[in-house]
Amino acid sequence: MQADSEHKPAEAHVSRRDLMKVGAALLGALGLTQFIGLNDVRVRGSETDSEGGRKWGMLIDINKCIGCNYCTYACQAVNNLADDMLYNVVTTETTQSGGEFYLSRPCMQCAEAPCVHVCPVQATYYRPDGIVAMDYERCIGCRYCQVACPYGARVFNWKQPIETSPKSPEFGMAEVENRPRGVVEKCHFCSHRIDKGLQYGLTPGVDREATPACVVVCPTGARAFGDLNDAASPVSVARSEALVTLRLREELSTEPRVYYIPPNPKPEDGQEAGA
Amino acid sequence: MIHDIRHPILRLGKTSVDIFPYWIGLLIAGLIFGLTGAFIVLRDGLQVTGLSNSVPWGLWISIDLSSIAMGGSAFVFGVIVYILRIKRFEAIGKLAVLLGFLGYSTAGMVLLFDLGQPFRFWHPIVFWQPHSLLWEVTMCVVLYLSVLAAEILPVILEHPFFKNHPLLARYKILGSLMGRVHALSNWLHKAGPVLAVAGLTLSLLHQASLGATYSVLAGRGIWFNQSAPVQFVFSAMSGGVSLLFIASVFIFRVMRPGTVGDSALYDVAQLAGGITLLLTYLRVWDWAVTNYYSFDREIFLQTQMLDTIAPYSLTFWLGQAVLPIIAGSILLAAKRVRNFRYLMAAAVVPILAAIITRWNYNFAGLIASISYDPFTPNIILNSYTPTWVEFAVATMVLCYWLLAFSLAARYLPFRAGDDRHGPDSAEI
Amino acid sequence: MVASKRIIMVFFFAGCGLILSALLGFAPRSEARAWQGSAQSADDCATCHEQAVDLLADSLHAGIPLKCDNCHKLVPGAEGAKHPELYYSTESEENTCVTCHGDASTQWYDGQHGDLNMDCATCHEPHSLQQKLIGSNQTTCEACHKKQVNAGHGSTHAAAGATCSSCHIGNETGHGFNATLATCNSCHEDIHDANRLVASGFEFSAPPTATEEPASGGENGEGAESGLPEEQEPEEQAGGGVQLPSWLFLVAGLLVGGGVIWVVLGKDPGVPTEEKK
Repeated sequence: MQADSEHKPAEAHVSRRDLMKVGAALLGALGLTQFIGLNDVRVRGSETDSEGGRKWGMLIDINKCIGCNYCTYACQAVNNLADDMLYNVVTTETTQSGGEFYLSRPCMQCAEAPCVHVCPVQATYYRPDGIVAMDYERCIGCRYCQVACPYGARVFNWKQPIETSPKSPEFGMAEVENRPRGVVEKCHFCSHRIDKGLQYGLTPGVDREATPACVVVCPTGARAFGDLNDAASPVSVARSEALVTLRLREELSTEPRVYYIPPNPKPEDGQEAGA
Repeated sequence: MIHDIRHPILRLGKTSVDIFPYWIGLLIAGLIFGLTGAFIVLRDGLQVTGLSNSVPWGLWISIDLSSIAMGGSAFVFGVIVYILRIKRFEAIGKLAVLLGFLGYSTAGMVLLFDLGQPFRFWHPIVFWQPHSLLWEVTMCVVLYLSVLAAEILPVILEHPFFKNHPLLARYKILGSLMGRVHALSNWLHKAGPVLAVAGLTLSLLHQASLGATYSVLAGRGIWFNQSAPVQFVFSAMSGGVSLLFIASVFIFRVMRPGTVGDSALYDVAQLAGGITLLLTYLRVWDWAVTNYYSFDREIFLQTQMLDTIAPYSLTFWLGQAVLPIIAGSILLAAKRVRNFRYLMAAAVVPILAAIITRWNYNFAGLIASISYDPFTPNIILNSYTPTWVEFAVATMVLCYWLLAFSLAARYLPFRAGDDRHGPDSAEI
Repeated sequence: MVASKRIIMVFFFAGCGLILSALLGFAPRSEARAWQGSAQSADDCATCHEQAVDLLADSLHAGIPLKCDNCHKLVPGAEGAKHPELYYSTESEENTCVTCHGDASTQWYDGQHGDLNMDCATCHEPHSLQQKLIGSNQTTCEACHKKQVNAGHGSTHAAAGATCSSCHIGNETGHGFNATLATCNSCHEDIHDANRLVASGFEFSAPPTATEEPASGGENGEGAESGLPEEQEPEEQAGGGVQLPSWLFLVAGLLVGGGVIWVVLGKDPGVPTEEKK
């Protein structure tokens, strides 16, 4: 106690100066954090629709969709997926007036894909044709892309890949290699079909062999596929014929390349996101 | 002198029993239990966890965020000791470095198990994606962990075991190897200020980026928050310095009385209290901005949904506003309170607040996620039940932390100044 | 100083070597498909497509000499390509199924299914000739005609054991799927004698509850993230959140309680010390 009182004056002096030093350091710290603005984080993608070249896109006519799930099954067969692995999901949704409709959701292949922005190892990337593809050899399985995707379009490979999908051969044969356990998988617009098709002079969207399995299998022709930059492609024709098209969660500026024709009875429902 | 170091002993009550071996035995048992869980994760993959495609980040990420926050004192005291050259805190600074190293190595360990491909952990170092916040966090954590290792090495090497062990004299190669390590340690010690600046930059960057990791995700509503990076930095500082206060009371008052005076400990408490109050101030403004000035329907709905299944708002108001104000005030008035029981109890609050913040922030956006349907978007509640394997790995890293801390508390000489430079350098 | 410089060099080169070996050894590479030959006979196909070949062998098609390349062709205009490089595609059904199954095909394409451009493979697995989706709790019809199937499940027809095919396919209706008066008459000899069943003391068994599935699917179609009725788990719909085990709360409670007791009753930790020189 005695020692305390002896030291007091000098200590008080020192601690006030210390306090100022600490305060200055804190201010500096605050300043530093402000450099990490959020503006730089949402960088532009390397590829945009205006750059020309082929940009694959899809149009799903909700009026034609009967909710049969064949797209999901064909996808599972072609990508050799187990029953609980779904690249494509069909759900029952309602319009504002309460009418039910089926919403089929593949990967949106966004031009500004959140998953590409967040992947720490560039395992997911834009192909020049706009498809958001995965490098399964590089993926570390951190699942940040899953967290980032506003559409829940990414599925993690929790288990060992199966030998043969239960949906094969009813809905098709496995056409791609199995992915290892512990990577995040996603729909790739059957890019293997597109690549091989183009190599042999086929037109994706027109020729079945070069078109995604979900588009080919659809019994009602609800899906149209093709090059968005080609006015004659099935998807562009269908888009121009449609009164109104919309994209999912457009307010997020992800610029999806999957368009929807909203349910007919209430066409005004789609006005908020009309194209 | 160095040779006089006696290992401090913690006795149980008034008996002469040294509880240290039993405590270490308990921790090793916990470690072995955790290692079985870790083995199962590596063998069977993440299917043994309770994680799902809708809740892909769970308990481990929360632990990871929290343990990084618990290391938050290292950069604060790196600045205080090495840049501002306040020598009074040198011994406490060494403890802060230890806590930082433990926090970050714990985080690294948990993250390793959280990866789907644990053996590709080095990919971010080789394949750069500078746009990704997770990449930035990984790089910063790796670099900062090296900085902390460089800072902790001289502290560990102060132990006479590494200088005077008979084996070193008997085997020349060991002796010369140790000599080189000591030379490296000397060199690192001299580079202290550089390391401190590097550490400050790196840790500020990634503590902020950890918040930004979540807050850039516009699609998740409740996470999309401009102030999250600043909040994460300050909450790491408040939680980290509070933990440092508790740890230094234990080390410098209980285990080695006399190394550091009470007044320095009061200063640490005051620093923790000040940062806690500042953080609470920021946090309440952030709440006002989100809920009052720029009302967001989605965030409102998410909060409402979360309140139906968990005390989400309650933990905010109680755990992140009311209690931190009380605790911060007590800590700030440390020199008046002069009661280490009360101060330690108060210092627990910012620690818990930092953990709860991260827990809530991690789960809020995942549990209450926004659906993508075009006409009637709503909030979906997802479910997550951690499995025993996840708790086992959590136990493992907790035991690792406690084991390393206990060994350090007993064996490391946390003394002010550097013995190699003679007693002169230990001035105030 | 010299020693420390040498150490730095060693570390530097070790690090460089590590990164280089990592780059060379583990850099992502795409694996080429294993099979390099070109398909000649069904035996070749069976090396990879065992499943489809087996199904064909077990089917009604097994009796006739049907080969894989009767239906599967490499894409016209790409004859030079080898198989695994380019996938086989199916010939159009006019050249395959219709060759033999002309009647069914005519009935089909005259009906509403044909109007929608649906083909044989929409419902039939082309190798086994069975209907698709048999074996799961969805039938082929149910995939699309959900409402009708649900209505049917609750009806007396379902209670009497009738399925879609009882009325919609048969000798009279064929692949047109239109039920005719003859279909009704095959069970209801005198349809206008309305309460004949009740009068005769027929007891209706409770209709199978097919209602729970569409109700949950409608309300919470998002919830299970599956869209597949067979995968919807009931517990997913009952709220959400992080379910923690109770022992965790016990441990936390003990820690907090012990801490509070210590704060109120305990001693100050350690001994008061002052800074000494």
